[in-house]
Amino acid sequence: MDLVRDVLDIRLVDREGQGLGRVDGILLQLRAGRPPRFVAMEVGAVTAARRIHPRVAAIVRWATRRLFPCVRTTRYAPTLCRDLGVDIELDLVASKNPRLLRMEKWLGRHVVSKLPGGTW
Amino acid sequence: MKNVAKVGLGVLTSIGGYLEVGSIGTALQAGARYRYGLLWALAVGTVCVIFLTEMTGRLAAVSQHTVVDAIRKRFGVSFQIWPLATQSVVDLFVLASEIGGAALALQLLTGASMRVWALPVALLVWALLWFGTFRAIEHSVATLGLITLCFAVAAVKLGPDWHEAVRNLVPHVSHRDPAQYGYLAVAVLGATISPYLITFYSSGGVEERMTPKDLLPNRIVAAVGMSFGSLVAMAIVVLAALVLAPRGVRADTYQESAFILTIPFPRWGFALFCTSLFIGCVGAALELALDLAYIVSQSFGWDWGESQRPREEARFALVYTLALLVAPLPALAGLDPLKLTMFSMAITVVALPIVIGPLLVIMNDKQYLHAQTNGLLGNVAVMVIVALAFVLAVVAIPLQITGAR
Repeated sequence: MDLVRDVLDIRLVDREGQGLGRVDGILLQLRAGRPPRFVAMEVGAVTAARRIHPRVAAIVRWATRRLFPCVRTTRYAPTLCRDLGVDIELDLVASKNPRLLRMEKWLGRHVVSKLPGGTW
Repeated sequence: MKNVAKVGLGVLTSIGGYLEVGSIGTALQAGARYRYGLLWALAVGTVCVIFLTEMTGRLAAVSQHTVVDAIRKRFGVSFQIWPLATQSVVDLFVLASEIGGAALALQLLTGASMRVWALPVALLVWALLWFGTFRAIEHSVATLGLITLCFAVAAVKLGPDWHEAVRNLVPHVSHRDPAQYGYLAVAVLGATISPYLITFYSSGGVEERMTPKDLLPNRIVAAVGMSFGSLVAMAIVVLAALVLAPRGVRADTYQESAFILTIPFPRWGFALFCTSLFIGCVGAALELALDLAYIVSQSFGWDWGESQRPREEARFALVYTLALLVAPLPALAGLDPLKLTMFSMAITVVALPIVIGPLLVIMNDKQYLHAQTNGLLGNVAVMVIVALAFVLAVVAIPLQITGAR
């Protein structure tokens, strides 16, 4: 498998088809005398921004810390992959895991539900 | 039978949703200043749009993925940030123009200033998006948009010179104030080949759950719907040539063009113009606000879809909410909607190559399109359109400086 071609920037979905973001980065473990090991897929604005420019990454890190302190970069182990195609399907359900989609859930609870018709 | 109904509905939607503030404004100025002389720009733009919408619809039908999905996957985030940033700015400017256009239509109808109407128009658009579903919005607004056919009826009623109109479908150059002629040609092309049409059409295809069975209906809708829609825009050029040009009206503002329908329809003409402008602008504002939410959400892999409840897709819903908070500001400041429209059309043209260019690669990607990748004709068409987009992008700003008056 070519990690950059087949995995990087692909959309991740859970078992229910809910979007978890895109693979913004790939984490490899370097081992002496052996090929690197594919450790995790990273999803997060700072990871994506780092690929654009380190200065952009610094701005995004500063902004997310102040605006959305609950948001963290998420790592998914390759062993979670159920299906690899145009999207990658992971063996988990985001709605049941409080550590996933924190920003979506936080905005839903604290902003959308406060707007007229936000709870329908 | 189901396919016939689908094609019929698709064609009606394309016609009803074709006109918006950019196509009305540029067509009025083109007809008022150069009579039939810029009909060719509309014809060329329409051919380009037919090819582009057919391709993006095909991508959605075969892969259930959008153009933005494919660009991010194929080119990576460090490239994709550019089309995303460019198109977001362009969409915001055009959205502001549409809200200004709708507010101005209400000003003409009621006499109350457009500053009063800007926020209610934005609120109406937001409420339709917040509470409505994609299908309901698309079909209701497009059905109401069929009122714009009044321009075609009016043009036929006034008996235009058909030979001259057909002769002007062939591209040519005018020797009378060529800078302004070039500027208007670029603006007409920018209003016709809008980047948002491409991303919106492919997102709409995914929203409507198009499948490979829809390939033929998609092809027919793209060709027939866009052609008939463009005929309505051509009718405005013809009307402006017959009504505004002989009276020396240059269509510098919408206000001075608002009487255009009162010659063929003395009793209802003014109300028809204002209603058409209002419905066209609200329809396009819905599409643009949605398009902004689509491109941002798809770029970052968030859940998106107009038919979902806002609390289920909070980030998607908040993108169009924020856009609709910012977009009324120019109208609130009293900026002339037609001037903003013409400026928006010029920056639209500058953004074209960066949005259309990647299609050349994506439409040949077998992972997305399997056996439905572009053939020779499709690839030649994209190459010609991309080349045209580059030329237009280079000349747009100099022409905006020398020809805009």
